Amino acid sequence: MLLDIRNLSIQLRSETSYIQVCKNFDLMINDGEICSLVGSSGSGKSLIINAIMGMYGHDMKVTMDYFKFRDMDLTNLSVAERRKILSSEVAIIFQEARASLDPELPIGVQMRASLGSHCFDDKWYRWPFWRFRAVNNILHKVGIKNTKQILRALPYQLSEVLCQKIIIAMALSRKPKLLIADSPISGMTSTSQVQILKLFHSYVENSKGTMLYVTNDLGPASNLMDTIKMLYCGQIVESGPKEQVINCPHHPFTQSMINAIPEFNRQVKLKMKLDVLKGDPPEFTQTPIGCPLGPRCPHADRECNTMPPIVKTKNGFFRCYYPLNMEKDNESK
Amino acid sequence: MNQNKHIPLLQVKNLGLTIKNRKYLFFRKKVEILKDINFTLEKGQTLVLTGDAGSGKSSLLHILNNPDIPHTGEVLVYGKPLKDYERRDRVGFIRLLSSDYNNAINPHKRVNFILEQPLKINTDYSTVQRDYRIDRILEYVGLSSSIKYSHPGFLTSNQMLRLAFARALVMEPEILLVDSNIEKLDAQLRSHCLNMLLDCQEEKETALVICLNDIGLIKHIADNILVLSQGRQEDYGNAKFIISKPEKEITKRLIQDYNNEYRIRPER
Ligand code: SF4
Repeated sequence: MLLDIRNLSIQLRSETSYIQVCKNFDLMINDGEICSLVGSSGSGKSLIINAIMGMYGHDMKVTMDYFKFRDMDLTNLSVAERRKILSSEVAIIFQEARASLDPELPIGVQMRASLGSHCFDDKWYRWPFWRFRAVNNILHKVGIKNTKQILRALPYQLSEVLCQKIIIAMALSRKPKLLIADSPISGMTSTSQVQILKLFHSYVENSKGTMLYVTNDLGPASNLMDTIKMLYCGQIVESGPKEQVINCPHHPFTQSMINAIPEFNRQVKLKMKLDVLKGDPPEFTQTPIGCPLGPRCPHADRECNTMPPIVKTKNGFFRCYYPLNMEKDNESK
Repeated sequence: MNQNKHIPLLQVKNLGLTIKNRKYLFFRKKVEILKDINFTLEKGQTLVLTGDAGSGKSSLLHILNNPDIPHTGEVLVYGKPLKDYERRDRVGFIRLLSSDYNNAINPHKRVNFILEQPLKINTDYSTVQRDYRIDRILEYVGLSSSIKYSHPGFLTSNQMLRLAFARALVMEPEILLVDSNIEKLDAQLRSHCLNMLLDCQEEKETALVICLNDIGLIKHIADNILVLSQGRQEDYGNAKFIISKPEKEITKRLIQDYNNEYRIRPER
């Protein structure tokens, strides 16, 4: 097992007290697996990544029972020490690409700086200028053609999508053990989406990498994922292998995420309204008692005022009193 | 005799945009961003612009939004060039809906100010009339009018999206331009946004011009489709027809790339 986290809880500091953002969060990623966290915006996806990597200040309080990365037990280390160990083996692709590049340095300088000498794997006589060649190669792989211009440019001169590609190239060129990608392909055209997804695929297949893929849309990359974890209000509401989650979702939230994609729903005709959950996702200060989906759920009943227990399925679990599609599950058994 | 002829709502003829790239002292290079774009748009129809990155989708949208940008060719609304209209009439025809609501709405101003300002500049309404209009538009998009005196920072993402809609619709435009940030929203919000667009089209017969890359969404909402490639118009016509039987290379490639192996569909 590459990463094993048990019972992660995150509290954010407000003026008067601490607000519980995420609790009872377990994450286990096997070697060579693509695990994906899917949730709507504001469900705490990015906070969880920050908590795992130890990128937070005094306004966030993170506790966990157990934290293991490869063979190292990092539970009792301080945040700074943990960050030091993780930073050499984990690469992150952040959501706002342009904001995570240095605005004052040319792209080429930044990309070469991110390549440590441990990334060099070639004959010794090819050492001179290997960083230049490596940067060129990886840029070609993400589908950037005029590398000469791009390497000289500053981040503000490039479009958001190009910055996204550059960040992805930077992350992959370091050959990390674990790659965390936070909505890496949002806003791209389908041509570049395929290119990037192919790159991720070959990274997992050929260089034995592992991925944590965080996204807010089930559509474009669903076949890349191995396991899907649906996140709602900082809580995993359903988890399982991709076929199971997409073909027979048990939790109403998963069903609504699938219905929101017009292609996934055969009954939708041209220009028909798509069915969505009514209302807003609740804010963290006003999370409802019991099931977090309660006020928005079309199947809610009186029982839902208490926290639903975890129900185990074949390879996963869900948290709901009135699950959907149970007959399908029985048939397949 | 002229009156019998049908005049379309929006007609674009030979639209072109060229910029000069200046470098060093004497070096000048002309870059053609758009060339020879032709299309028409009727009431209550949807036109989807699609193409690769850098193919000029958003440039086209910006020219439609602001005809003061120097361009060649003509943009006709009801048969009259858009440039010749007064500015205050023009904003009544065409408005831009920016679905990247976090960056498009000024966080320092109250909701009332955000909605009132276009009315103040472009109409002769009195304060009472403006107030009435704002209340009506907030009701239409499904926000309570008590929200008027709060800052956008206190609104949830859903409410912000509705506010962006309200701002686009205060002038009661006949053509609504939607930028491609709609794809970056999460699945729930995006469906919400599409539902509101479809609602608007049904009730007010608004014509829509949308930038989209996702063929699945295009199939769902588009009447006509315009495929751009490096500033040229490659394909234009009925969306259903073009997507089911693509003829041009670029359209074929776009559809093929969309139906990639990383996209699975549930078996029903
Ligand atoms: S427990 Fe109740 S409210 Fe929660 S998802 Fe299930 S049916 Fe809906």
